[in-house]
Amino acid sequence: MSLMSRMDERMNPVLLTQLRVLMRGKIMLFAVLLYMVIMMITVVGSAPSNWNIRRSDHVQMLLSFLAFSFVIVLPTLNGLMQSGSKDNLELISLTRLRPAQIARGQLGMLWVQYALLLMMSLPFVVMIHYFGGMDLSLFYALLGLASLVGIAFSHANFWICGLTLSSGWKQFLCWSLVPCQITLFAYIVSWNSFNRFDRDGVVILTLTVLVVIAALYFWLCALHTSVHANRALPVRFYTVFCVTVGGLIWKAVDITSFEAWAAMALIIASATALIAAGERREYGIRYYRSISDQLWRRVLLFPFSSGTANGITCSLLIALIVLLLAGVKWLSWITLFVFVLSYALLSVVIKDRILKRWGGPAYTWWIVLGVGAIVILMPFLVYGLLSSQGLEGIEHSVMIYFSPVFLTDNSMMLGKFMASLITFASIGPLYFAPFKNQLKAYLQKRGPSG
Amino acid sequence: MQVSVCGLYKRYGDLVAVDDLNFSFESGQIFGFVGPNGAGKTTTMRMMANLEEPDKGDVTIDGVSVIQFPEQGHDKMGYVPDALPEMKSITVYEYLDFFSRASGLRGTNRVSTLNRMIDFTGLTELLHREVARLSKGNKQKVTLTRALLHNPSVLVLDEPAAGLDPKARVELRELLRVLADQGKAILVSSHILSELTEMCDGVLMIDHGRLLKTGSLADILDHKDSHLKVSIRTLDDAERLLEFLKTLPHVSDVRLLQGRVWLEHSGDRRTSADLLAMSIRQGFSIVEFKEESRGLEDVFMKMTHGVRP
Repeated sequence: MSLMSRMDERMNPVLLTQLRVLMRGKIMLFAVLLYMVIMMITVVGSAPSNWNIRRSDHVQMLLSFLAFSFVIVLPTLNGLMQSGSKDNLELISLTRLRPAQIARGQLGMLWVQYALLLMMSLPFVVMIHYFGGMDLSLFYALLGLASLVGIAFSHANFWICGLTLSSGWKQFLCWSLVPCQITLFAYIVSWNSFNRFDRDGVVILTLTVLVVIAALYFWLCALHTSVHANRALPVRFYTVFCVTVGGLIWKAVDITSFEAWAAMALIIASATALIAAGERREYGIRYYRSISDQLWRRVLLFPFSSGTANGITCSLLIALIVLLLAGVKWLSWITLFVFVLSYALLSVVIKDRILKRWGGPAYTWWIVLGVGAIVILMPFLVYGLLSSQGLEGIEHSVMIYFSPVFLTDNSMMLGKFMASLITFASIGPLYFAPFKNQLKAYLQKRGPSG
Repeated sequence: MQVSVCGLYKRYGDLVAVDDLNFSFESGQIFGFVGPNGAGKTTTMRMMANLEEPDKGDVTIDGVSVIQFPEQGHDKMGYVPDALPEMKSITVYEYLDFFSRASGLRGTNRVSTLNRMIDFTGLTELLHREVARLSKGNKQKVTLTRALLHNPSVLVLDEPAAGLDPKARVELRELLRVLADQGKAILVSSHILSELTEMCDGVLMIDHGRLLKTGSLADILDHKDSHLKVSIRTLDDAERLLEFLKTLPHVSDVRLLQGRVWLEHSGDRRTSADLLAMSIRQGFSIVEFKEESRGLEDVFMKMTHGVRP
């Protein structure tokens, strides 16, 4: 068997099919030709004798073109979204392809295209380097960063398309990302003025984008996994891993303020608690099969697995990590724990008691997410408005949200503790029994029939 | 090879979609799945194909649970959903080649299987056409070919004849018959009951997620312990005959249609003979007394009427 045949057989089927479609399609060919022509005009048309003097302007223009050329990927995204429709994914799920293989095939197609664009831009970059004497490595580093940003947004588009939303909503959300992407591109291009170049900024942005790309990959895998399987496991494990490693690095290196990391981690803990509200209270047959036979593994994996009780435990684990790294006192511990738990239980109550007979499960989940966030943020926003201090008041009220970590004002923390305790006492009993049952069912590895 | 559905139960919130469903069918059989819209047919088929998880119950193929071991279930079952493929810019060959690779077929085995299936379903001339631009009948052929690529021993088809023209329906029927003769167990749902009568060996009727009747087609259509339908033509006044028949016991639903009197009566053929004798004794000149055969449609209407609130 020839090398080509062997490659053909070993290649990811999703990637192979998309590559075939891309090679056959006319839109991509047209876009690539147009791109080459524009680049040629840009380079040749702006090649004056005093290029060295004005090189920064030319490099800026070239980088702009290169960065915005990533819009070429949009038709491929559209094709991939079609192949990623719910009906088609269901059929693919009946084959031997695993969710991670499907996700890798889809995302691999985007990586291939970005690599192609970078390679195509190489002659023009070399041309400018030859005429203008610019720093080639820096230029390519910025271009690489722009590609990573493009890839991150493409991953985000994919993830949105996998959600259980109407196509109108999906399109709205996808198109909403375009201005954000262009803004980030413009930000990266602005770094080209070398005197304003911030190496730390590039490192932080690159790391952040890589973390986001990986997170979106895990989310996409989870979306491709059957709802009956334990699909939250890799997502939650990766989230807790990132929070922990990120916190340790932040504390050790102190790249920027540690509070920024703590605030982000607490927002992640809150989001995890809210998402947990929409998950299963009972483990299904397939899920049951995936629970480990070894007790220590079951205990270890409980916070990372799918399920409401599991998700809430995961959010508490993130809160614990924040508190351990922040090194705060016991009162702060209890305050934050009760607050996060109240927050999660409030969402569960909204879903189970108020929205029980309203809307399909998917919509209920979204409403819980929205309403839960509004309800939990409302007191702070109201406080900010009532204090008549405008933005300063709102900023202060947001600080109360993170009070166990940032504020040493005991009276404020006590107020938050009391408010959380009242919420917990009023809604906690409603949820305590199901939570306990789910925990027991998981740890005892009890099947759906009990 | 036997496919058994045991105590299948599924609820969505307050709605019980499938309620303790039990049935079985085996190799070489085409089993019709009948029920009104929202009866739970698609949910049942999706559970069989492992796209939905039942709250209770199991689906087994030769004793192996497809719920417990979904991978084995996928290998043994081919599922054809009611939605047809709508992907633009992908050709029939690319579509089928993708699914053959995804099904784990490799090398020459993949190529030969693909070609054999394409020949079998008659898609050879359509290989380079875009899937989205095919007619419904051809799309259905593509979907069926896709489901057959990994050579499953069980086929589950959800409304495969919906929207097809008569020629495509006949082609589909013939294909399914050949597949059943090859030893595959086939479950097919359809609203076109006359179609199922011509194609199926057995029938399963459900409504509101509950089993109404199951068995071989002959058993289902059997006249025993059911009503008989009779049409009568007389040389006399048909209206007078109609009034007379209405007075007789066992007779129900008497109607006058196109000069004939149509009636339904409880009992067997002996009752039919008694009715004819009484009419003649009453002085009616009967020139035709015909027992109308009952179709699946009649049985289905009767069964679903029985359980509706």
